[in-house]
Amino acid sequence: MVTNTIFFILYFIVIYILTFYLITFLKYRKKFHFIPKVSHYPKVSLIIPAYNEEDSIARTLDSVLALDYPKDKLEIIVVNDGSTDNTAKIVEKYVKNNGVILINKPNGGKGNALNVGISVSTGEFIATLDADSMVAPNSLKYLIGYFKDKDVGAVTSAIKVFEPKNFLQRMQFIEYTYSIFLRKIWGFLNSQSVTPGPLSVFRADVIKKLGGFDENNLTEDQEIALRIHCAGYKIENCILSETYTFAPSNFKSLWKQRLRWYRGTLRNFIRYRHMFLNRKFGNLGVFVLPSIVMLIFSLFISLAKMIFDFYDSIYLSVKSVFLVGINFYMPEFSISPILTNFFLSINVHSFLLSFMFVGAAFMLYLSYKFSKEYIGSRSVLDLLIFIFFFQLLYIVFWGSAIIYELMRIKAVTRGKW
Amino acid sequence: MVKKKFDTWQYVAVALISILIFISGFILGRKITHLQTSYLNSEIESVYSDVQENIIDFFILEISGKTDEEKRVACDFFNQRIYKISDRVGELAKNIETFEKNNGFEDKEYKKLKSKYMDFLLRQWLFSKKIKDSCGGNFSIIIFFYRNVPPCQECIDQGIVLDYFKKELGEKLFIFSFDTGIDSPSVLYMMNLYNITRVPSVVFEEKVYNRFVSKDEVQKELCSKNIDGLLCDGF
Repeated sequence: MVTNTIFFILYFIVIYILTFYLITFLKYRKKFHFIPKVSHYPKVSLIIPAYNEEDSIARTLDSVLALDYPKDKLEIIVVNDGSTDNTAKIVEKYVKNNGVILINKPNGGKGNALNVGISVSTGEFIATLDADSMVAPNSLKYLIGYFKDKDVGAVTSAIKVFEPKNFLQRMQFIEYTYSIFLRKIWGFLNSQSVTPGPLSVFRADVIKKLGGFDENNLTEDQEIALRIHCAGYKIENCILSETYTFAPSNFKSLWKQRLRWYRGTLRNFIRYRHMFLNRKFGNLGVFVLPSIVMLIFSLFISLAKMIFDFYDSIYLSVKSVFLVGINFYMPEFSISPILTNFFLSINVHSFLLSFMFVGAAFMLYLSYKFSKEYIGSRSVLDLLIFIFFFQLLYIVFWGSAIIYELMRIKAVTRGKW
Repeated sequence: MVKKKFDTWQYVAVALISILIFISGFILGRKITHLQTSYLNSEIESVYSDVQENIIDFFILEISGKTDEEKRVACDFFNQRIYKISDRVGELAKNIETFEKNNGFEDKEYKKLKSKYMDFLLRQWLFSKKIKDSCGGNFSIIIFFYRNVPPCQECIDQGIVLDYFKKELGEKLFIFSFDTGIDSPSVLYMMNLYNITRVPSVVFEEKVYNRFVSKDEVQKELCSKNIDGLLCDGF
């Protein structure tokens, strides 16, 4: 009875969250691909913090140099954060040939590198770009238009996984595609809680007034976004401004990345807890931040239920061995009992879970549609694996992040590992 | 600086839509529960009518007073029929268990259904007993008293033990499981008949155990009835 009540409350919350996003989509569907026209191009300082990025920095710089943006209005600053590989050597070629500014400094983490870049920048706007990401030619031009609104403090882009090769990258491709849609919805709600490393543009005076990035933060791109909201500025998103990033190709790197993301999120949520359920912060405070926490909470409730059911079946099996010994019986296979069993297994939970599944799948479809991605037969299989299995990994990541935080295991900021 | 705003009407509209979705989930859930209980009801009625037909046939054929040969033919006929019914009852019991597992034990329609199933079990038991007494069939009868609500761990354990013997012996063992948590005159009758004071209780033919009965004890009881298919050395 208690378990049922807890689950029904959770179902309602999840249904509410999904409905809220879908209604927001319907409300703004015609504005999804809207890009404000640019009458003049302001000067933009594009800062690329780099730590041991010899494999990707050239590709990143090539994409930046190919940007469809007036060259005299673009200041490219690479901050070499104490790399021990050939990153500096590679960038030096671009310094000579393309006027890129290179700053070499001792290792101090990504936040510190960005602040050093900001301190030497002269642009009216500051764009940040991770050294393992590439920009599409129109991406910067599309973002700049949003700053016509004086209340806009930052604008984010649509991040896609670059050429996903293995299974793990294909799963992240789906996840990033989903995020493109969600980030746009959050943009409409003025509720983006992250200004991601792979291309976000900030109003320079705002970011300087706020004191730059938090150098000791695990997810400085999230912290700055929350600070921008606290200062009363809007964060917009442009779904047509595409950026490509390399996704971790093995579980170990993914684990490291997610542990940092989620530990950083936990710390930032605690630090900015005054924003939660606070009308002053609009949809972000009243809906988006609490809904993120609720979704994490529901993951753990589901995990608890899975553990309980698993324990129950293990307990029964062990008990059975104690009571009657080990016995094997060949199961009888025939379609009719299986169908009857399926029919008799359907209950209220099945319907509510199906509604949630349909809502989430529809959002996934919209994500693909609006980020102009094609759903092939292979993608369908990947999507099913993502929905039914891969998401279980989030429980592992979040669970580990919470345990690590509770045990106060030392965390390392980006660029220091 | 922008004043953060939100559309209160959107929150209200979303709440209303969510409530609607939620309620429709419940309505569909109720509808499917109704369909499931109707299906199980029709299954019970179908097996029930089979049993009733057999009972009528049994009295028409009047086994007692016949020649040995006539009696043997009639007994073979009824033994075959009772095995067939027993298979169907096994399927029915499994289906009811699946339904219970997914819908719980509180539904009113389910309680009615379970009570009807208990009535059916009583008749099936009476018929099986009659066949065994008259024809001396090569099967043993066990009556098992258990309870689902409130939970009874020993009943689950006893279920595991009895299930093991059912799997081992198949049609040579008939188990009639009566849920004492169900408000049913048939269950009450059986409890009074065997003076059942607690659950689990197990009745082997006429021998009553008002307690959990272990695997060895069950085996000993079954071996004493000379049931084929059991390793009875040492029992």
